[in-house]
Amino acid sequence: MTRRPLSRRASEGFTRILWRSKARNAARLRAWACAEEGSRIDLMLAANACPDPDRAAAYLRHAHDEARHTRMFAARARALAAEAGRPPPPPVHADTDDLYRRLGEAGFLAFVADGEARALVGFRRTAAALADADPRTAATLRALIPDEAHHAAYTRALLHQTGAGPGALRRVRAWSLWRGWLRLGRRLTRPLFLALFAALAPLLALSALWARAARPARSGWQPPEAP
Amino acid sequence: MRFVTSLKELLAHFVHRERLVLLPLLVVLALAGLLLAATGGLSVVAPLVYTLF
Amino acid sequence: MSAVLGLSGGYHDAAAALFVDGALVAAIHEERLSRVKHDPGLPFRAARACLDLAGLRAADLERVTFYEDPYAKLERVLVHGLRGLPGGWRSLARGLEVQLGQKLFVLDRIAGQLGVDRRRVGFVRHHESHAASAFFASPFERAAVLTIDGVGEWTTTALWMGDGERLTQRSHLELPHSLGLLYAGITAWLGFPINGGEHRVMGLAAHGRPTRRAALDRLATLHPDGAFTVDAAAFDHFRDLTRGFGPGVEALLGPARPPGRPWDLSDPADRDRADVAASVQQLTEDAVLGLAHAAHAATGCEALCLAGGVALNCVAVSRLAAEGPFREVFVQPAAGDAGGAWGAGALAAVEAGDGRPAPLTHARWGRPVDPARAAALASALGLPARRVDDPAREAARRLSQGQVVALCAGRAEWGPRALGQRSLLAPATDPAMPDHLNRVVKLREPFRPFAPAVLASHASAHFDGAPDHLTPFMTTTRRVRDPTALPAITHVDGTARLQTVTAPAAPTLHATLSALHAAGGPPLALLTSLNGPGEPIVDSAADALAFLVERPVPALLVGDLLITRPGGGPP
Repeated sequence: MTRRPLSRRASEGFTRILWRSKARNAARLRAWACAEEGSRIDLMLAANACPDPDRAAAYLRHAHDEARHTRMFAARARALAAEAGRPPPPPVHADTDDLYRRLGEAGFLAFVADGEARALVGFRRTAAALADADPRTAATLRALIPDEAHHAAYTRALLHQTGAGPGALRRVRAWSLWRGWLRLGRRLTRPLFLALFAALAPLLALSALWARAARPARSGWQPPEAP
Repeated sequence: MRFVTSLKELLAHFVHRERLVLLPLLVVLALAGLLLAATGGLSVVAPLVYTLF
Repeated sequence: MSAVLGLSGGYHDAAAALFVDGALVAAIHEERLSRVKHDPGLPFRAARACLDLAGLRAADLERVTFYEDPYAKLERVLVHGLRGLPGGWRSLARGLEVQLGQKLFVLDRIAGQLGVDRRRVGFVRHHESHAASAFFASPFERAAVLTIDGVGEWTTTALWMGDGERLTQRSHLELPHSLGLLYAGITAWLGFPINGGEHRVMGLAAHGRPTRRAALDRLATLHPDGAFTVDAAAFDHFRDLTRGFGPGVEALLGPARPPGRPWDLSDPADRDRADVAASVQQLTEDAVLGLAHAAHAATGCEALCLAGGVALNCVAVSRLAAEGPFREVFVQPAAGDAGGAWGAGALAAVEAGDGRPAPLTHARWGRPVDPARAAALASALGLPARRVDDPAREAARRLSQGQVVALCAGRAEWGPRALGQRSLLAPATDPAMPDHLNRVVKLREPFRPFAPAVLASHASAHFDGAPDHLTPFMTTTRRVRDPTALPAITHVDGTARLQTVTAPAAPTLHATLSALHAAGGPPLALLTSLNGPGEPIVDSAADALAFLVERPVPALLVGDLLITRPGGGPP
């Protein structure tokens, strides 16, 4: 019997540690369901914007798969929450980064191909790690693997057809890094803002006293607002 | 230059009897707000799975 | 040529409405184009789509008007938040973060994204945009106007006098006394999403009885002069406007229902929740009636126009029309925040000297659907598609055979209701249809009712009363004359939220219902919006095809193109 490489065993062990808590896993799977929903919306926008009906149809089929993945992750999240004795996770919600319009079709294809390929690796690794610890979640992930493989393959093929190739992927990775940097920046500015807010406590306290005294809540009919 | 118009409008709104008291607080908070404005407009729930692994 | 654009957004109902020389040319919800339900962003796609429909560029716009005052809103967030200190510090911090980080510079973002000179971008007050959306869309030269919602800048409710091109506010109520936030709070307590779930509460209410009214009366007091006060502390409104409800509400009504839990009205706990829904619905109706009496006393008008999110409560509107002091009531289809875009645009048009827009007589103001594109996509997807000579007869034939038919025709609807342009039709006579649509097609709660569309000429034969200003837009309810004959569209309380259909307002739907009638059946059908669970109403051919691929509906008509699902029913 071949032994798996040490790095793989370490990675799976680390994954098992990450996935120790059912409640946290429920939240994580709900987040993944939201991510799939976000993908679905991006793909629908691509289908709407793409002038070629064959490629648009491919994006529609892909969106259909993402809808199914959303349901699968959401269902597993609900089941895990119930097993953990927690209330059901809030309904799935997502918005869009409008990747097709932002990156152009070649960029969009590069982004999706790259993301699906990485998801494929990630799902395989996580499914292997959870095979004994959480077989149902492992089964959910394994069920997605053929879809992810197909998504990575067809987007790579379409990207090749556009002739854009490695340049597109490099540009998209650079854009992803920039976006990650912005997101990190936002995460940092929030604590900074809160720190400043806390530092302003005396001024805020005085202002609060003023607000209660000079601008109390008013009941009943008020005269017309000033234009 | 666009922001100049907004700042003028903002000042015009707060330079008013019952709002003037808020101006100092607002100015200080606005400076912090500039930081946030620079990183504004991001989708919060972006394709996470693509950046997950 | 004078082109003005009204915009709403940044909260939950982004939309754009374009007026050229005082006439409405296009009105589109951002969510239909972004495919994000209740899109919280700004309506740049909708704005560009409106311009495209008019053959204009952004540089042609004389004015762009936003539906609220960002500076007054910042002031409110600050002052109201300060009032809530020290306990509400998190809410104030978060509110200021959002205001200062994004919302304060909304006018700059609009100018930048659209490519319009900043000096041409302005705003109107939130409730004024609501009032304009109600009054200027109405057929009345003179009317009282009531705007009732969660909150704009400070105002939650306002009473106006509309006269020709003039709108004058008479009085208003301020935060925290808000009917919209009260209803939203109970919506959240029931486990539904705020700004999306309120109509579910309205649907649930008919399954309960107002036995919890006494508890609700401790949360809100209605005064003889029509005003009302809400117990802000119970709702935690001084700490956080977004949470919906506070410990005070749970102390009175019991623990909140977790979102996402399946409903079972045979369970006593869920029946109690239905009673709470019925109680808040009754309180809201009483409050709206009280406000109407105040408006009548203040203006002496015979007609009333209503707007703001609470105006979407068609059961309250129905009761107001029946029991209130006004002879005529008008609610336009986009009575919520999206209507603010229409109102803001109309106000800009009036200010530009273009005069009042023509009254709204139909809702077909969105983008047209492209059957050729649908054919190309269907072919690429491997779905059988063929042109039919008479799409109305084809739809009627399928309905007569008990099938569900998806219908995409002409320009998309303005407003949250489907009105025959992007709709699912089903037989109104099939008692199993509501369960099938809720459980299998739309994946909604089992208690959600379905509404009928009926030929206006035959409405009185099936529903109490005659068509009026409200019925073409599904903004009111009527009693069903023979519920046993129309089980699929009769709600548990014997009423239906009907749409009366005329050819000028909804030509394809009219033709379909006429064909049904010609085939010997009643000229009505169950009508619901064409969208899957959790998604906005379908807009384009691609959206419609995605729906057909996803949901088990046998046939889709896009103009005269019939597309069927393999194995989805008779060809």
